Amino acid sequence: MAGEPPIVSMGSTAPPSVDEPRFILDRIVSDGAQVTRPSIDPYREPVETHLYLFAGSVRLSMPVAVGGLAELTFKEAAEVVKACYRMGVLVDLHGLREIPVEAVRRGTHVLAPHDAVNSGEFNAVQMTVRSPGALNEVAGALPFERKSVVARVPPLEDSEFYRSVCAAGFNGIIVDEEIGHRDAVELEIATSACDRALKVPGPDGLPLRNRVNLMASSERIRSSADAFKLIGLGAEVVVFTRSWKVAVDYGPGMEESLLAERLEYFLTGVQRELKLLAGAAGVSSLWSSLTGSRELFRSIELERPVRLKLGVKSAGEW
Amino acid sequence: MKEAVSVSEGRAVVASYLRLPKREAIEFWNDDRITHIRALATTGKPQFVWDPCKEGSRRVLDRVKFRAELEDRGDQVDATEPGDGFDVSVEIGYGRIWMAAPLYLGDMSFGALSGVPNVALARAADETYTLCGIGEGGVHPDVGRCRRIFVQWASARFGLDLGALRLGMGTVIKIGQGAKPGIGGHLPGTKVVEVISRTRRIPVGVDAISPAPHHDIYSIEDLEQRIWALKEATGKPVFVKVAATNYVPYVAAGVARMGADGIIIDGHGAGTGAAPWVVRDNVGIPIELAVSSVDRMLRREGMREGFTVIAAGRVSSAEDTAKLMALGADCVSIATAALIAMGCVMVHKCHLGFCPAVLTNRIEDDPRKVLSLETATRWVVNLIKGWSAELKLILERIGVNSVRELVGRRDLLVADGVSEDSRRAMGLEGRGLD
Repeated sequence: MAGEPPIVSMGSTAPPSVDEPRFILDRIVSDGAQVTRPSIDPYREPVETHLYLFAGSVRLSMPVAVGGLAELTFKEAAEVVKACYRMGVLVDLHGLREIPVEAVRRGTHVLAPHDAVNSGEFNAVQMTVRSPGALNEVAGALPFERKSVVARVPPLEDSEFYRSVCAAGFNGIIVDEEIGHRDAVELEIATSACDRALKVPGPDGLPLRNRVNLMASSERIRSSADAFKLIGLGAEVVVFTRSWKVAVDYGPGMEESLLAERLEYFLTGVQRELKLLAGAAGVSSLWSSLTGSRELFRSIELERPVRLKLGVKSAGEW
Repeated sequence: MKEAVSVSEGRAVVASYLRLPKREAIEFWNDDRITHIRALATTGKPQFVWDPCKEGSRRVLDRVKFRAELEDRGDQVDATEPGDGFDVSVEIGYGRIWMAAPLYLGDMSFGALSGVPNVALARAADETYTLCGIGEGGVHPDVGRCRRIFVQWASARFGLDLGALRLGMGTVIKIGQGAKPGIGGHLPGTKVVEVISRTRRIPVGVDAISPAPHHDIYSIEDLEQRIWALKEATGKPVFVKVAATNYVPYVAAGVARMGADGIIIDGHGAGTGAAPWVVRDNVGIPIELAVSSVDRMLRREGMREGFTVIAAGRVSSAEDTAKLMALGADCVSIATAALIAMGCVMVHKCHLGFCPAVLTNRIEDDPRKVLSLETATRWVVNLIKGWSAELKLILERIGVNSVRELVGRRDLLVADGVSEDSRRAMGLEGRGLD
């Protein structure tokens, strides 16, 4: 049924034990709560998926955003923006040539390109910081007074870089795997590195992480499970840039209303799956109990150096 | 192989195996494993000593080997009967239950399975002096007439009363299962027909979704109360079934401390009649990485003696059994393998109710096809006999006389191409990847 998590039967054929693991995410499993702490029944008990960004100014219904709109037509992009408004999720307009300003009604949560800052009511704008060396130049041009500003950065491991981004005054960081860099690492490692780097105290004595939101974006984020694991590694929001297009069977000339309807069903299903995973792990609120909770995960046959970078224990370790 | 069926009262009675379908997707229970299980089930004779199906598999347990096998290379024994003097019997639950082989036919409910397979499993357990867990769906009348059953007390309490609880040799408090740790049982509404409705005492056609937690077990102290309530009510051993998860050693220590007679640990990859896809594929850890830590934790706490550890989840052969026992289990649970023995071809469609092998199909008043109870029972009995014989051949090779002496003998194993982290979790030496 549309919007329902699919049901299957008999034993798993998933990686890493049966199918070939392609990504680090394939070697990470989540916890099931039992006995010493109870699981939560995701069909009958509340599991909260909402979260706040930018010091409480943005409330999202779930930690999943829709991105990758560059290839969409103006009308299609407008429908996606409206669908995201109805679902209460963030929409990332990165790469879109013409912003469907009319569609961005009050209460729509968009990440708009920074040069569109004056053309509509946007919660937040973003600027791409292609490399650590480009940071000062980009930060010099920030429209700080008006908006929350997010830095879109390549997936790096460099703690100092992430701290400098915070120091430059950005309110959020999107680690985007589609931005190439010669020192780029896997998204899992970069997300975790950023989260850990920002947990050090800032000038006010509080962790930088408290005032900077972290998002992860990649074409290879396939499912709610991938999102769930990336949240566990520190991301607050995970941006789906390709999987939603697969889900709605996107193609040129697609009827816009069908695109919006299927996207809403997809997001509903993703939210329900997130609740299933959270309930199974005994988590009643994704935002407060899952974000950066590496202890809820275990790795299976992941190379030790990578595992240590992620800060995840190995299966069988307790 | 053509499907040989006889016709009785206008019904086709299935008493032979389906031809294996062509498979595009990768599968743990591949054609080699199914063919081996079918050979055991039809002949009751051992097929080999060392399981060749483990070659090329990505499962950690398949990269754990007996030292004896590595020394044995090129000397695969042909399928002869094992020598005398090798004992595969075990005593479980502080010695209160004797089993002729360390095989527990795991917890498949009436409703998930369509009746005949439930009865076949229970009868096979009686005939072979093993055990059969009946799952959550209440007691099928013909299963209730069998002696060697374990009655399951799960979060929805379907079809349970004092009479039903007292039917078995023991009770299982089901907390979790390997296919969906932290999530409750799920029988799709299409399979809830009149007879299932009566047995489970639920409305026809409505999904039977059991609560994820027991709503009267929110702590280890709550669990203790239930364990002792069930012990007093039945006078029989009480086992607790949990999934293999992050903290399973603590869970096992708690279960033992609270007075249970044993624990069934179900690993990632175990079968299910219906589960959310996202949970089945992403939650829980493999049994081989859980059972060893559980065994060591229980020893450290001085609670291992007499307490039974049953390992479940992808137990596919006698060699898996032996290896899991050497890692610290007293017994293993086989379920998917038993289904395959009864004709399962792993099409993964149990939840839809159209099982081609008539094992998990929707029960109909006037079915066109039914499974032969006699044949299905014989297949499972043969499977257990053949499996036990292969286990004896392994004992012969590794120089251990009894499976009871095999428990916890990690020194007999070696990990070949396993990461240091996993080796440490299993307590094994060997060549690593790191």
